[in-house]
Amino acid sequence: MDIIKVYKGEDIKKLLNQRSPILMVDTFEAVNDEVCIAGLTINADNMFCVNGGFKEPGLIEHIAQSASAFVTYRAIQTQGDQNPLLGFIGEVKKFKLQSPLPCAGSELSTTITIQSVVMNITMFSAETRVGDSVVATCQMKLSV
Amino acid sequence: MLENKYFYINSSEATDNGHSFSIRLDANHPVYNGHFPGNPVSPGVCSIEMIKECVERLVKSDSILVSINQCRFINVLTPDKGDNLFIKVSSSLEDSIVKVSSTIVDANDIVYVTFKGEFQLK
Repeated sequence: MDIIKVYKGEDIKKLLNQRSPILMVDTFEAVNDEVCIAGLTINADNMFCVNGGFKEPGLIEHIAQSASAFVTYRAIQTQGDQNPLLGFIGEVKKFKLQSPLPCAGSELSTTITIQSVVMNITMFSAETRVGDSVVATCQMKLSV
Repeated sequence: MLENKYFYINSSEATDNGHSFSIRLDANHPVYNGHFPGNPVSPGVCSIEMIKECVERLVKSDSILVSINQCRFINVLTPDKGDNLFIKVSSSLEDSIVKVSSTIVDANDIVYVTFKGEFQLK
C-alpha cells in the first residue's frame, strides 16, 4: 500500500479539525517518524493579519496546528484511516521571535521534531522559517 | 486585534501586585465557526493575545511578543465560560522590554492560563 506523505489543499482537512477562519496550515509533509514540515501561505484576509502584517497568535497557532496534523498523521500510520484528532495546546515554552513578523504573501515553513509522547501528551520542538530566515522557535506540549 | 471583537474589557483595577482586567468573551465571534465546528473552544493563542492587549493598555503602547518563557493552558476555556473572566497582569519595564507574568481566571478562581513572557514596545 502506498503511504501518503504529502497533504495539501482540501486534503489538509483529513489531518486537522480546525476550519476557516482559523485553519493555519495548508501543506503538510512527513519527513520521517519524528519530523514533519508544514506550511502556510499567509493571505491578506487571514484572521491574524492586521494591515498586511501577520501577528504572533497566528504564528503560534500555525506551529500548534503543524504538530496537531502530525499527531493525526502518525495515528493514521499506526492505526489506519481515522478522523482528525482534536489537539489542544497544553504548554508553550522557550518561544523566541527571531526576526520581524512576516507580511501577507509570505510562505511559512515549519519543521516539527517530536521529542516525546507520553500518554496523550506530545512534546515537540518547532522552527518556523520564511525562506532562509528563522522567524520563530519554540517548544510545545500538545494534548489530544 | 481582538479587543471589542473577540473579547471586551469591562473594567480594570490596580491590585497588590499589578492590575486585574475584568473581561468577557463574545461567544458569537466567527473564530468559533472553525475552532471547532459544532464544538466551540476558545483558542489558546487568543488568550495570549488578550494578555498582550491588556499589557498594551497598561503601557499605553503597541508591542511585539518577543518571547514566552512558559505559557500553560491548565483548563480548556470555552466561550460559555467567558462571561466573567479576569486577566491578572504584573509587569516590569526595562529598556523598552515589558516582562509580564499573567493569569486568566474565572470568578471561582479556576485558572485557565498562566503566562510568563516578554513584550517589546514599538
